Amino acid sequence: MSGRVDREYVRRLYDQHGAALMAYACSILRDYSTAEDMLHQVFLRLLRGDTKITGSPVSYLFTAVRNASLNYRRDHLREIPLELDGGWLESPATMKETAIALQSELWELPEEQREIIVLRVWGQMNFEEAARVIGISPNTAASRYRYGLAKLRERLKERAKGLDESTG
Amino acid sequence: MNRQDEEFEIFLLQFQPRRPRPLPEVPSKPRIGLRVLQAAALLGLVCVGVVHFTRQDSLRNGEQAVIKSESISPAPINTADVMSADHLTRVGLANPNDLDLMLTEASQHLLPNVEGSGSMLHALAQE
Repeated sequence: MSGRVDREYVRRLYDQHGAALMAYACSILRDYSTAEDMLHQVFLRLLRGDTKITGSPVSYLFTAVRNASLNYRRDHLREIPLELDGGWLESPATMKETAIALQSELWELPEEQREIIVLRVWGQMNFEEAARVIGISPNTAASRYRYGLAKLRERLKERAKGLDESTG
Repeated sequence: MNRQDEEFEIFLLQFQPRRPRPLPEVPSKPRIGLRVLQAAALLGLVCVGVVHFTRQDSLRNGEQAVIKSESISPAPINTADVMSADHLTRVGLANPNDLDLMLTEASQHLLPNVEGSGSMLHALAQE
């Protein structure tokens, strides 16, 4: 980006990546409206020209949202809800129950695994990009992802099995 | 990545994150145009120039006034030397005429001018 703020460009980035960035902020903060505030904070700073995008825009945005969310969580530890406040995943009409179960199980995962799953699945990042955002090696990112994905799959299967047994 | 993982990823992608609210409008910062800056700089230069030249003029006038006043005033005479009692006695004893001349000349520097056209007495006499 040049010295002058290209507001159109910043708004276009918001339109393209806003939803994935929201998912990422939610995976750290649990609270939808707080996550949205963090996202707006990051983009408003860009729009006002208080800060500039350096390097890859997508990596920059995810890193900025991560930092803002972690800072907020550190400063407002007592205000962070224990349960997810407001769903952040939209699902096909017939899969609302599954969407709730998925969000709930994602929350049960260790944060380091949840974070990499959100970056990879909804952020559409490869392991190198995701690793750069978190500040770990790509191998560690890949390893955390596989563990997390396997755990999530198993838990969802168990839920589905339990549901089948109770209805059947 | 095994096939199971890939299939599970596809399953997960059926769920999409909610879109956040649109960004609020940000008022644009007042930008000072280049022309405004240029005009301000030019105005500043003009002001500095005016002040500089005004000061130079006043200094030059002051110097001229001093030079004029110096050229008008007569050469100072050291009356203390001329009017000392010792000197007057010696001149009077040697040549009484010289004493008269000397006293007449000295009186023009020591006494106020009452005969000139610009003197106070002349002005009073005219009234």
